[in-house]
Order: sequence, then structure tokens, then C-alpha cells
Amino acid sequence: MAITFKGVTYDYQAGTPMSFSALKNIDLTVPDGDYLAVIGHTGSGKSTLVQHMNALLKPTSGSVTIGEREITSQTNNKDLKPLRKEVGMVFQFPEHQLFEETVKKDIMFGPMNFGKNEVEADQLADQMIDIVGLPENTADRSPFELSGGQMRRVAIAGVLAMQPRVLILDEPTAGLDPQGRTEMMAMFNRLHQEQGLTIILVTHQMEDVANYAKHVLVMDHGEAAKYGTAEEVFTDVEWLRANNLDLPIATQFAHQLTQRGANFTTVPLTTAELAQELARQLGGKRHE
Amino acid sequence: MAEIINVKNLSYAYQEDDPKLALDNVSFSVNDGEWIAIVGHNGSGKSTLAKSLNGILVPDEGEIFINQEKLTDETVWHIRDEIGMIFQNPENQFVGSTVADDVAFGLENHQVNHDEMVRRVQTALEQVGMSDFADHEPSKLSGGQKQRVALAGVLVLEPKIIILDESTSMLDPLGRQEMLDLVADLRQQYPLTVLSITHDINEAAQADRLLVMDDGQLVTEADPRDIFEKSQQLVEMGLDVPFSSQLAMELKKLGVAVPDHYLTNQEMEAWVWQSLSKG
Repeated sequence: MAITFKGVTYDYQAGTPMSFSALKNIDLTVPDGDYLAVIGHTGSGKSTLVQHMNALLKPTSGSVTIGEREITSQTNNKDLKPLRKEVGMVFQFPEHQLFEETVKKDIMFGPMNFGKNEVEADQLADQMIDIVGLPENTADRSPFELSGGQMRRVAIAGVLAMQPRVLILDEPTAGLDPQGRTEMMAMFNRLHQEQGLTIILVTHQMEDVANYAKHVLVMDHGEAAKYGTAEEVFTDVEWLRANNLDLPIATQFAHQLTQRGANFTTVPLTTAELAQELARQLGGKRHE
Repeated sequence: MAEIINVKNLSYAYQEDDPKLALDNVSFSVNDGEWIAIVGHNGSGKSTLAKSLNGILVPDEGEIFINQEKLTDETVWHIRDEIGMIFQNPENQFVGSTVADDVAFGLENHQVNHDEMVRRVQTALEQVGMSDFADHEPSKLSGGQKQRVALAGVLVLEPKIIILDESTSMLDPLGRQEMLDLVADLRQQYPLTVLSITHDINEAAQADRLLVMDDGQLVTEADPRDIFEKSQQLVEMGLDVPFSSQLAMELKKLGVAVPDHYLTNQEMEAWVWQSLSKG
């Protein structure tokens, strides 16, 4: 399901003296099956942008097309429910939205709300408990007695149980331990690879962008400041520095070496890519 | 040096019949003015421990002494004044409509008169370098600025102990370092004891001592200066393996002979450059 922005502007408190444009004339296409990372500083418009992708916000001007549905300032709020099922949103700290007595009931809430019967929802919940890596015996426990990392998984399972075709993730791994972070990002990537789920990831973690994203959008003061593949975006080191954005650490390391005089044919984005390039150069020399 | 925290045989289960204890016979003590890092996986019991120290959770077994005073129903209110906590997400602790109001909030429960309050709020904002933002709305600040305001809200009560519960985890690398530098700076000026619960290896390395939690138990104490050497165990401790060690491991896999001892990122860069230019 593709998502297209055409000339989207969004004003908070429109029509008042406090009016403030959080998005300015955004044109963007997210093709079906894409993995898009949205990066930028706090307040750059990242969250406002993604909230247009399931019509939580409607553009002040311009239009957003989500699959077959076009959303404009005139769109009626009434029949947006099917859209919310197709586009799942995992907010920051989604564990704050848990409310049911048991983990299973919490995960079943979404699918039942969207018309699944209890048996179907129960099966979906079991599946999702497995997919997100929760121990089986947590199903009947209160979500509030779990650890922070497990609560996060419950909340994500609840969104996945609605079987969305697009998944929006707003800083999904903030506060998880490094191993939990790696596991969770690998889980999202599996869903992306195996089920063709379109993923939109809002993040400060450049390593995750380097490891997973097909495309990167840099937001700055409500504008789409840069768009391209991860390699295209991270190649422009000077621009990123000027805008106080971080590079993936492997890219940064390669950049330092380049300044000393080293040569890289391609820009390494991950530690593995960097090691391969270095091993090739070091190994080659050894045989000379 | 005087003992400021003493924890004896602490145990806690979230459910009565739960065989898995969130805290399992945990004992340790902290000297006045020490900086202790507590590391471990999500679910290892770190946050449960922190919540026990200021009486948010009441342990099933064991005793806690803060500044030689036993934590009980009677002393908990007094003891909370001595312990300031800063959490992961500062937005959850904002109550005031301006930065100054927010910092003043804690004092309002302490019968401090207005002039004194204004003075102390100003001082606290100066301490964290946020004086220029006194009239700003807290929600409009950057992540690092928000944590500074949260820190001011704690400092204004003049606590002896500060607990940082993953309070740098939402910040970018620069914001993280600024926050740690600020806490280190404050410790030069005031006798502060710091307990930082963290997954960040640089934060852990900054501590005087490292406590490692696993499955509710305190499994080991380590010297922060050694941790960079232990790349295999770091993952088990719930910490990240530093980049230079990751690169060394990848290079070894590809048959490159890298030095066996730990190199910092700068040292690694120098070593790689030297090896590249040798050819």
C-alpha cells in the first residue's frame, strides 16, 4: 500500500495568532513494501509527518493518499476506521497505553475492535506473543507486572495483531537494552522481508537506519530537507555535520580514515561492510 | 567514608505465588559520594531495586538503610527528600507550565516561603545551565534540555543521593555526554552520591564501581576500568559492545590479525591507518 504526500502543509492552531507550520509543502512517495527511515532533530516535524500516514492528522492544505484513500482538510472523520486497521502505529513508549487485565486480553483488543471474533483474536494473540518473543507463560499475567522490555513487546504485539499492511514505528527501541534492541529490530525486519510489510521508522539510531532502511528522509524545520537511499544520504558528510546529524559509527570511522588519506570505493554503512573493505585492502597488501 | 546506602538481603516478587523473584536476596552498600552504575538486561531487577530505595515499592524481605536511617512507613517521607530520581522519559515528570514552575513544584510541598523558593529555583537552574529558559514551556525543549530541567527539579530539594534510571537513554550521543559531564561537574561542587542505572557503556565506565544484576540477583561487582576488555560478557551484562571491539571481531573473522587487547576508537583508527600505510 503506497502512501503519497502532495504539497502537504500542516499548521498547529491554524487560524490563530499562535499558528505554527509543523509541515511545509511536503511531497513524498512511500512505495508499497518500502522501509523508510525518518530522521531529524526533535521538533523537526517527524512525528507530525507520520501522524498523517494513518489520518490521525489531516493536512491543512495539500493531500495524503494512503492506498486508495485520499485525505485532505475536508475529509470526514467518520469512515477512517478501515484505514487505521491497514496502517498500524506504534507510538513512543507504547507500553503506557496498556490497560487490560491480562497480556492476552490486551493483544486481543485491537483485532476484536476491528471485527474478529473471540476465537480468531485468541489465535492471533498466541501468534503475536510468539512473534514478538514473549515467554508463553506471560499470556495470563497482568501486563503491569512485566519488565519494561516485555511491556513494550505486549504493546507491539497488540498493533501487529490487527495485521496491518503498513507499520509506523516511532522510536520503537528507546530504553531497551542493546540485546533487546537488536532482537526487536530484527523482528520488524523479518516481518518486512517475509510478509512484505511496509515500514516507516522514526529514529535517532543511525545504526538502525544503516542496517535496515531502503530510503531515508531527513526532516528539518518542517521541511523535507533530504531524501534518498541510506548510502546517498550518508555520503554527504559535510551536509550532515552542518545540520548536526549523526553518521552511523562505521561511516564516521571510514570518514576519519579518508581524511588521513585512505580510499574507499563505496561508503561503508555498517561495521560488517567496513570490516570487509578494510580486510580486502589489508589482505591485498599482505600478498604483494 | 560513611555508608550512605546499605541494602540487606532484599527480596521482592510482583505476585505472591510467583516463583520468579524480581529481587532475590540483594545486598550491597554505597559510600557517601560514590558513583555507582547498575547494569543488567531489561527485567534483571534494576528498576525494581531503584524503586525500593525510595519506598515506591515495599520489599517482601530485607532492610534498607539510607544515611544510617532504616526505611520504614514512618521514615519514608523524610528519606524521599534525600533521594532524587530522574527517569528515562522526562515528559512523564513535568507538571509546571513553565520551566521555573516545574522546578518549584517539589518545594511547594515543603513549606518553603516564596522568596526562598525563588532563590532556590534560580540556583538550581543555574546549576544545570538552564537559567535562560526559566519562562519557557517544558514541552518545547529538546530532549537534553528536558533532562536538565528534570535534574534541576531534583537538585532544588538538595538531595544527598541522585538515581538516574536510564535517564540518558533517549538522548543522542552528544546529549548523553553533556548530561554525564553535568552530573560529574555537580559532584565536584556538592557531596552527591550517584546511582546510575544504564545500558550505556560510556556511562557505566564513568562510575567508581559497577554492580551487575541478572534475574533479580546481584551477580557481580566489577571495576569500570576493566569493562571495555570484556566484550563477550558485555552483552550478558546488558551493555553494548564498543564499536572498536565489534570492528576487531569482524576483522578477525576475515583473517586480519588485530591486537588482542582493547583499543579505543581513536587507537583503532590509528592502528588501521598504520596497517594500511605499511603496504
